Amino acid sequence: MRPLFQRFVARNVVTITPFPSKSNALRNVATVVTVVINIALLCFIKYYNVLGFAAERLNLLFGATQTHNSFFLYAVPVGMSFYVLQTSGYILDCRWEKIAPEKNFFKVLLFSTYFPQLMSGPMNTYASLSSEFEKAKEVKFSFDRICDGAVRVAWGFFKKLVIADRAAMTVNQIFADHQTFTGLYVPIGVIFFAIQLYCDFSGCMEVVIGVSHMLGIELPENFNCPFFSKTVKEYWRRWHITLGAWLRDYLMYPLLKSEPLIKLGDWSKAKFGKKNGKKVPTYVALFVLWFAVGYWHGGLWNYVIGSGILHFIYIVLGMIFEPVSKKIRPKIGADKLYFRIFQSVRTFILMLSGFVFFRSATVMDAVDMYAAIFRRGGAALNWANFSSSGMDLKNLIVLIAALLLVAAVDAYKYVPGEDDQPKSVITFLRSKGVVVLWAAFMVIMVATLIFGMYGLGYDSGSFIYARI
Amino acid sequence: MADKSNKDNKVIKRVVTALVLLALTFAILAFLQKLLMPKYQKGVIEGSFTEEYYKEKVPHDVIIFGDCDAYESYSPVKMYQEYGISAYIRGSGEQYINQTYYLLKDVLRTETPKVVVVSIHNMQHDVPRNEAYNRMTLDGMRWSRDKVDAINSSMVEGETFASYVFPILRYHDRWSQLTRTDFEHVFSKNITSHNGYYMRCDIKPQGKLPPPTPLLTYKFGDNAMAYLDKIRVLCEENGIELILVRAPIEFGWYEQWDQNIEEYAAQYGLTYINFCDYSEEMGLDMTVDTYDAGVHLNIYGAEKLSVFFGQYLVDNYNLTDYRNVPEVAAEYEKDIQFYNEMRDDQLYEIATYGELKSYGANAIEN
Repeated sequence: MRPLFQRFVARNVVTITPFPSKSNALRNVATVVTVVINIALLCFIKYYNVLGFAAERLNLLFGATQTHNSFFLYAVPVGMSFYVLQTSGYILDCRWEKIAPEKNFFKVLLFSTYFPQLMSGPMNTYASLSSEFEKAKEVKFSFDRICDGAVRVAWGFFKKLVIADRAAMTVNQIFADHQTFTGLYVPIGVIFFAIQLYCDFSGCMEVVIGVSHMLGIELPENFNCPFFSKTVKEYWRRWHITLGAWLRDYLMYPLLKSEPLIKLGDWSKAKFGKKNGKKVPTYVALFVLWFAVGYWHGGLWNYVIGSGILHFIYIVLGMIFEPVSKKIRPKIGADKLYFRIFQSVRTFILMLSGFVFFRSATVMDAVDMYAAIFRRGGAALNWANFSSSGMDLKNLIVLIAALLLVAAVDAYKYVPGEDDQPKSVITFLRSKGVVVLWAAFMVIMVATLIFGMYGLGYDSGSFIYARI
Repeated sequence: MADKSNKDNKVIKRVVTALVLLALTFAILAFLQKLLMPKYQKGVIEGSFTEEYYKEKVPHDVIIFGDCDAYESYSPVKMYQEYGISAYIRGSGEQYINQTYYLLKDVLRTETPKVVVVSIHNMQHDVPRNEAYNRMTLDGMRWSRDKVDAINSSMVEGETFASYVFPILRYHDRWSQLTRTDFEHVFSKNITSHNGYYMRCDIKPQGKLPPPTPLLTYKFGDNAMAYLDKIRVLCEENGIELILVRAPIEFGWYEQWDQNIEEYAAQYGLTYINFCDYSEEMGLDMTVDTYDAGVHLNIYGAEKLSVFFGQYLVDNYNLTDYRNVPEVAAEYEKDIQFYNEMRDDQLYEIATYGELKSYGANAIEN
């Protein structure tokens, strides 16, 4: 299934876009047709079950899950969401003349199916990745580069197997049975899910970037300490960075420059005044952007709300109240550490509100999770009930210790260096000598080997974002 | 010239550092693997039996294969004391018939016994069904083509070959269950069996056994029969006498299964001894000769059976009386001493506490 689809996409991309058309109209048609085919294929194959038949569509809004028309549930090509967007980006770049259309079929094929990033990203542009491929031709074997890549790969598996899959024990139990696990269990479950999701996805990225680094191809970073963010806006500059950048460059900016939104801007300025009116097209573009983000995550309404609309609301509210906030800040000592911590905690809690939807099977499930916080009569909040998921004291100690290590590494990276660039822990370790780097690698590898949740009886096969 | 020498020194330093770090890496991983693997020194000692065979220093005329029916029913030390027979039991917990075949091949790498005895109790399982038992039998096997084949023919759902090559992948989650025993026996393990015999001196009389649940079919599985065939052929090829046996245990067995084995033995001219038919003759009394109400024999029952079977072996096969071979006799003297010490220790515990404390289920550490 996958190779066939890849060939189809690649053929679209290669045969249409380099066509030296004589008119802009024809080039526009070629671009639109190719992008629409790409996106339509994604929607049809991946979201077939969501779109379903007309009769099912209503059910899907509140309650239905991906169980209908199950053929494509099993046949969806891996990583399709990622390479459809990448190839669409390539087509648009060609049309916007940011790059020259590539005439070598295999180079485009390599770009769209480069194996380390195929499943879960990070998303890349053709200009960036192809230049890395070109550079890689000159790259010579380097033991240091292999070692650095190996450390990143080990760190990725540490995050995934030691933290994410361990936190999943508690998450799975609470989300599966929020009739029993009510009250404080719900926020505990959501916090554990935040830990799971971050370590799972960022761990996956460490592996992808590490493997690619070993091959001499540098991929862009996809995470930059997101839970230290002060605002929701900043959070999205630090979480799944490449997706945000892709949607900003290929969806939001073009939308803002589109004729309908320019006209809307003119109308709203006349209606609400220049200052307020100019924001209306931005809000519309942001809505489309966040709807797309949510929909891209899986097509179900819980994703649309949890990863999309909710964040749109937070960001717009932030923009609306920004003038008030600017006035208040100096009076409440906004430059103090406590306010800085408050901002991060507030942003984290806002993210948690979205994670409830993201992790729940349906919107109704998510709403019921919220209701469960206030429901009485569930399991008492005590150690015996909490640890019944398998999270006993020893596992909890391992989880906390591993989290502290991740937090320390993130904190080191978060404070920029003298050149204002994010610091690299591997560079720091290497500067201390090869023995220190080896020791760090051994600690990570041994900890993962021993404390990892893998092997018989564990389901550690897939990364969460590999299913998207 | 000096520059070149400095450069060479740097390269040498880098290579040496890399080699030392690589060696350290392997040493650390090897140590952790040994630490995390179950030691089977207390409680569930059956997991030790497979590897204990490799510590044997004497030749064996008789080798017995099978599951608990084998390693809890025959006492090689008693056979030696009575008849000078050098016997060994290559038994293990729920040893499946395919594993019996590969363990026999494994034996043939180092010695060729005159008689191979196969306890047919394990014929009831057509294919391996339990990962834990697989590990107890296979982890202790020395690496060879036979071990590879044994693993490949035994793995149940969820098992991976890699986890046999690198057992740390399977046992890593024992980090939270490590005991003092794990640390004490990282590099060396004590012998727990007596030539493969699992000694139990406690007594729990057999009561009325529940009637066995009827089965849809009493035919042994094709896979199990195929491996029994392979064992027969292998014995024929190596000039080994093959005896099929069933321990004198009524529990969990069907007459129809006996008929299957009798027919098979008759077809190929093999000896099949159903010791249930000789219980009276050997003086077996299941009110005192079992430690778990008739599921397994204790030392008293095993010694009675060993005396009876030993007599049959010396009467029918040309076995060496190793009591007359000084170097073998010297080794067996040590075995007898160990046998007697464990028996006395168990009897002491039973007399003092009314039950075993350092053996069996009470000794399981986690």
